[in-house]
Amino acid sequence: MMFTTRLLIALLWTCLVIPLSAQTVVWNVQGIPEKLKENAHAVIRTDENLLIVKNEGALTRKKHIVMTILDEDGLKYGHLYIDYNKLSKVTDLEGVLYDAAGNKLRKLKKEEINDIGNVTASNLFDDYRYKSVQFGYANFPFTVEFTYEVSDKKTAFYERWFPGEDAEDVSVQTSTLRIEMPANMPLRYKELNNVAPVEKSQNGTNTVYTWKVSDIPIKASEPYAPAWSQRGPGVWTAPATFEMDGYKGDFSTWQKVGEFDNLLNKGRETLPSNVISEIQTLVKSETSQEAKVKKVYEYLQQHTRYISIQLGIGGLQPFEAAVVADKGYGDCKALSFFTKALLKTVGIESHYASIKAGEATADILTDFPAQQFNHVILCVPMPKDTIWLECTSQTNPFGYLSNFTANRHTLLATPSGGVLVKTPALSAKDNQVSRKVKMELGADGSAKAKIDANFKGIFYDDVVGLIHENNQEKTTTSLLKSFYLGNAQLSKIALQENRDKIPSVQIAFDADLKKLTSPSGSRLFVTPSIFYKEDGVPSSGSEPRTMDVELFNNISYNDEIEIQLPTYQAVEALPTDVSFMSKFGTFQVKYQLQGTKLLLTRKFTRNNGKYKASDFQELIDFYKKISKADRAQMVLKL
Amino acid sequence: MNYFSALRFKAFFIALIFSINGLIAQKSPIKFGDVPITDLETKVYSIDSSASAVILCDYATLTYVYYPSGLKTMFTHHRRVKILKKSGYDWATFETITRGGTQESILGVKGATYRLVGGKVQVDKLEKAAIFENKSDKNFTSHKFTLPNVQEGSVIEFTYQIQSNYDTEIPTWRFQHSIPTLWSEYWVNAPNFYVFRLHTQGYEPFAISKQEKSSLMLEGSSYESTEYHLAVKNAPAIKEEPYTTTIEDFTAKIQFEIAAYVPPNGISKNFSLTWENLDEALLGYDSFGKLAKPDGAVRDIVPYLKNTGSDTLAHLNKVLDYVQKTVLWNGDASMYGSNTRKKLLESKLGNSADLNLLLVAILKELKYEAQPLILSTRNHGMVNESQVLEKRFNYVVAGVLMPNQQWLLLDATEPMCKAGSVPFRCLNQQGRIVASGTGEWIEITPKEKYTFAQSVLVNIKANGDAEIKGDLLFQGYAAMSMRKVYQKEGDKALSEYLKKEYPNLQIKSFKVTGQSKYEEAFAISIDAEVSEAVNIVGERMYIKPSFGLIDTENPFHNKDRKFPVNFGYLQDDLSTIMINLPDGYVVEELPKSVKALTPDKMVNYTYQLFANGNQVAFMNKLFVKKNYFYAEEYHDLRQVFDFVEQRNLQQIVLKKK
Repeated sequence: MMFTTRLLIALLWTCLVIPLSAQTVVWNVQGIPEKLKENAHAVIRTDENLLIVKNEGALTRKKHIVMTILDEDGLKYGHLYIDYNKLSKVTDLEGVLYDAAGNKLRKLKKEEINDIGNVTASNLFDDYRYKSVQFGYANFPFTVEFTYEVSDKKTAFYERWFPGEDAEDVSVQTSTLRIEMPANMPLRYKELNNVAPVEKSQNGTNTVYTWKVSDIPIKASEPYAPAWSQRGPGVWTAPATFEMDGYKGDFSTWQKVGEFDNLLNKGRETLPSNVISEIQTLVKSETSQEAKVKKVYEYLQQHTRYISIQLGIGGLQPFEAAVVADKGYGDCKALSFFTKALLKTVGIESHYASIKAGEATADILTDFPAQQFNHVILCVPMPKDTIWLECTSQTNPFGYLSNFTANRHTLLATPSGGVLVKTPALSAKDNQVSRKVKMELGADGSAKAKIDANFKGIFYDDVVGLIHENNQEKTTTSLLKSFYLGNAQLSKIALQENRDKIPSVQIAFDADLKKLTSPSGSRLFVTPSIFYKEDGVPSSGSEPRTMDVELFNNISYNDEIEIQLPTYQAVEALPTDVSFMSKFGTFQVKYQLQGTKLLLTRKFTRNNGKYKASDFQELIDFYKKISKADRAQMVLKL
Repeated sequence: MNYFSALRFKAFFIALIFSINGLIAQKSPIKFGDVPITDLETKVYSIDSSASAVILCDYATLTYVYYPSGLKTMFTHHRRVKILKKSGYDWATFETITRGGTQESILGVKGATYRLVGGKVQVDKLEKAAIFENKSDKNFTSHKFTLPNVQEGSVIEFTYQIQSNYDTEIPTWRFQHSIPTLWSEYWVNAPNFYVFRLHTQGYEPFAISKQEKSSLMLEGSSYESTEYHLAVKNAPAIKEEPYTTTIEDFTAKIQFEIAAYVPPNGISKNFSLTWENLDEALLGYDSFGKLAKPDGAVRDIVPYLKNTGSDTLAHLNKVLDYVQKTVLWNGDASMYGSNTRKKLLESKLGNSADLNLLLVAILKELKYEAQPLILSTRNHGMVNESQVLEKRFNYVVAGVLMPNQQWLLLDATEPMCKAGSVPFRCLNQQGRIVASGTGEWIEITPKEKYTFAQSVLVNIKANGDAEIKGDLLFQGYAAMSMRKVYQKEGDKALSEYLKKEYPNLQIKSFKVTGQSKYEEAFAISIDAEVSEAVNIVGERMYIKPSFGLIDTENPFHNKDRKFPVNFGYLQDDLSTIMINLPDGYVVEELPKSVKALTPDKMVNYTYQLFANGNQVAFMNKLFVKKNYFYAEEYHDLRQVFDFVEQRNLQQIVLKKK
C-alpha cells in the first residue's frame, strides 16, 4: 500500500515538474549521484536536443545543456562551440552561471560570445564559422547552462546522438533527443547498442520521437577498444525526403542517396576543349583500358594539388570540373569529380565514391542509408579488377588504397543511383616489413652493417614521405630512429619506390655503429634481434578488461640478420629458437651458428579482427613472449 | 591610434595620393611578370640541395602616404618562390593578417604561377575569386590566397600592399625562413618626425645595411626623411633544434621601435626611450601598475596572511600558496592583467599577470619590498638591454628584495612552485624589476636545479627474477614536474607515470611523500618485481646493473649544431643501486669504473661498480653544472652523453660457486 502511495506521489511530482521552465530547477551539485562523480571532471546534468523538422527544406535545432564543472580539468567542457554556415543561423543564445548550491550568479555577457572564422593552415577557405562561448570562472564546483536555437537549411543532416561519446572524463546525468516531424514525413532512425527504444507522442499533427538516457558514469579507457559509437547507446537519424539549397533529395535507400550525389554533380563535368584534346592525345597510344586510366591519373597528379575548401550545399557539392582544370586545385570531391570527367572524355566510365576515411575508424552502418561519409574517391570498373583512385594525392601509386580508405564500404554514385560496395582489404603479406642485414661485429663492440629493407603497404605509407621530401638530414634521422641505430653513421643511403598495386619502398644503406654493444671485460654481449629495442607489449589499462579488442591491420615482419662475429674463445650463451602461434598471429625466431657467423631469422605475423574482452590477456601474453624472445642475448668469451 | 591625425594639417584641397613607387628611390631587383627562363629551368640550388622550395627574392618597402585623416603607412611586399618538390607546395599559399577592423586594408593583390610547357613559359594568374578574406574575430582579418597550377619546377610570385593607420608601427622583416632565401631586401622611408630605433639580429651577414637622408612628399610638401635599406644574401633555411629557447632568437630579422614623434608644428610625444620611461608607463597602466598596488580587496585578505613565525621564506611560501589556491591560472602567459581585482577574485580565474600582480600587491601590503619583474618567456625569445621595447616582454612575476639585498622571485601560476623558483618557461636570461625610479635588471638564475636521485635495493632470486625496493627523490624542477603530475589525478596519474617510465617493472605498491610540502623533496618509494631480470645460461648469470631504472638515451641525435644548447637549469642525476646476489654465485667479472668530462668539466659523469661479498654496489652519476653551451661546445657535450649510453650496455657476470 505504501509503495503505491509513493509511486503516486512520484507520478504527481513528475507531472508538476514537467510544465515548469528550466530556471526553477535547482542545479545544486548535491544532486549529482556519487557514481557519476567518480573520475569525472565535469558532469552533464542535462543535455536536451530538439530537432523540429518544419518541412523538407527547413529545420530548427534547439539545445539546452547544463553542465557542472568539478575541477580545473573540467573547465574545457564549460566552453561551448556552435558551428554554423550560410545555410544556418544561430539565435537566442543565452547562458546562466550557477554556484555550487545552484544559486544563479549571473547571465552570460555579450563579450563572452566570440564569433570566429574556421580558416586554419590546412584549410584554405571554409564558410563554416563558429561561436565560442564561455564564462571566465573557476570557483569549483559550479554549473553553467546554455540554450540556443539554430535555424538550419542543411536538411540532409539530422541528428547523430551518442551521449557520453566525446569525453572520457565527463559523465552524463540525463541526455535526451527529441525529433518532431510533420504529419506527412516519417522519421528514419537507427537505434544502437541497447539504447532504450523510442517513445512516440503527438504534438498536434506532428509526431514526436523521444529517446532518453540517464546516468552514464565514466568508463576508463582501454587500449585497442572499439570506438564509442560501437559500444555506447545512441541513435542515428536521417531524412527520407528533403530539399537543400534548391536540390531535392531522398535518403530512404542507398540507391537514392547515390542519386542525390548525381543530382549535385549534374551538368558540372564540362571540360575546356584544350584539356579534352590534351587528354585524348595523351592516351592515344595506349591500347589497354587500364593503361589509359593510369595515364589520366598521372595527368591528375601532375596538374593538381589538394586544398581543403568547404563551400556550398553544406559542403557536399564538388567544384565544376572546368574550375579544377583552370585552377589546378580542389578538395576530395572536386578532384575525384574532375578525374571522372577526364576519364569520360576518353570513353571510360567511373563512379564518384563516397567513403568514411580514417586509419582506425569504424565502418558505416550499412543498413542505414544516410550521409555518413567524410571523403570521396573514384571507382573505375574494369572487366577484371576494379581500379580505385585516391585523387587528393599527387604521389599515391596508381590504384593503391592505403588503410585510410581500404577494407570498408563505399557508396558508388552509378548512373542508376547509389550502390554500396567494399574497397579491397590489405593482407598481412601486403603490409610487410622485410629486412636483410649483414653485419660485421668488432671485438670492441663496434659494428658495420649493410642493411637492405623493404616496406610495403601501410609501412610504405610510413616511409614514402622520405623519398618525396628527399632531405638527407631528415632521412638519416628517421632511419636511425626506425631501425634503432642510436647515433650510428649512415652512408650509401638509397631509397627506391616500387609503385606496384601494393607499393613498397626499398631502403638500402650502410651503418657504422661505434658501439652496438660494449665489451664488459673479457666478454661481449650481443642481442642479435637488433630492431626490437622497445617491447611492443600493450599497456594493460584498467582491469578487469570490459571492452572488446579491435586490431585494425594485418601486418607481418620478416627479418634475416647475419652477424660476422669477432674471433672468440667460446660461445658462453646462445639464444634458443622460439616458435608459437595464437589467434592473434604467429611468431618464429631461429638462430644458426656457423663458425664465426650467426644467422637469425625472425617471422612475425599479426592478424586484424575483433576479439572478445576476455581475449585481451592472451594478447598481452602473446606480445610478452615476443618481447622476451627479442631480448635474448648471446655471450661471447673473447 | 594615429598620431599624425592629431596634427590637423590644413587641407584646402583634396590630398594628392602619391604613387608609392615614385617615392622610393630604389628599384626592386625583380619586376612582376619578368621571370628569367633560367629560374624555371634550374632544378637544384647549391645553397641547399634538399630544399623543397627556395625564395628567389623577397622584397618589401614601407613608406608613408598622406590622407586627410592622417598619415598611413604603406607596406608593399613582393615575393618570388621556386617550387622544387611537392612538399614545397605550401609555399604557394600565403596568408597575411590585417588588424583593427578598418584600421588596415589590403590592396593590389597580384599573383602568378610560371611553368615550362614544351620549352615555353606558361603563365597562370591569380584570380580575385581565389583570394579569401575571413574575419578571424573582432580584431583580425585573415587574407589568404593560393596560386593556381603549381607543379614541381614552377616559379610563383605574388605582391600585395597593406595600408595601415598605425603610423608609428613598421612591420618587422625576416630575412630568413624555413626554406633558403637567395635574396631578401627591405626598404623603409619614414619622415623624420617619427624617430625609430632599429634592432637587427641573426647569424647571417648583411649584404646591404644603410641609413641615409632622404625626403618624402606629403600633401604637396617635401619633408625630411630617413631611408633604411637592408639586404641579406643566401640565407640558409632555419630549423628548430632541441634545447633551444625559440628559433625566433636566431632568425635574421630587423625590428623597428618607435622612439619619439616630433611633428613640425605640433606637440611632440616621447615613447619609452629609457627603461625608466618604460617602468613609469607600465606602472601607469590599469592592467599593470594598478593591479600591483594593494587595494581594499587585498587589505581584506592580508589579516589572514600575517607572518606569525620568524621564518621569512616559510611565510613567503604561505602567501604564494594562498594565491595559488585562490585563483586558478587559465593558461595564458601575459604581462597585463585581464580583469579588475574584484572580477578576478569573483571568477577565481586569471592569466599569469592577474595572479602574479595580485601576489605583488599582497606582498606589498604585508610590508615586503615587493615589485613586479617583467620578462620574456623562453618561447617568446630573448630580451635585449639595449632595446627598450615593451612588446619584447610577455610575462610578469613577483620579486621580493630579501635582507641580503638579493631579489627572490615568486610565481603563482604553477601550484607547487615554491618561492625562489619560477616555472621553466621563465628561465630566459634576465628580467627587469619595474619600480618607480629604482627599476633594475636582474639575472633569472634558477635557485634550484633539476635533481633526481634514486637509491635502490635489488634482490636477485635464483630463478632470475628480482625484487626491487627503491626510493626515488625529485627535487627542484624535477619535483615541480612530478607535483604537477601528482596534483591532478594523484595515485592514478603516478601509477601511469611509473608504468610508462619503467615498463619492465611490475609495481606492487608505491607510496608518495612530500607531495604538498614545498621544502621537502617529492619522494616515491616503490616496491616492485621484475621477472627474468637477468639472463641465466648454464652456470652463469648475466646482469644489466641498471635494471631499466636509468634513462641513458643521448638526447642529442644530430651530429652538428648551429645554435647554443640552453637547458634552462642545472641538472643532477644520481643513481645508487645495491644488488644482492643470489646464493651460490660469485662475481666472475665486473664492468670497469670510469669517468667522463667535458673539457671545462661542466658536464661530469661517473660510472662505478664495487663488489663486496654477496653484494654489488653500482653508482651512476651525471652532473650538468651549467645551463648554456655554445655551439662550439656541442661535440664535447654530445660525446659525454654518448659515453653514458655506451657504459650502460655493460654487464656483470656471475658464476656458480
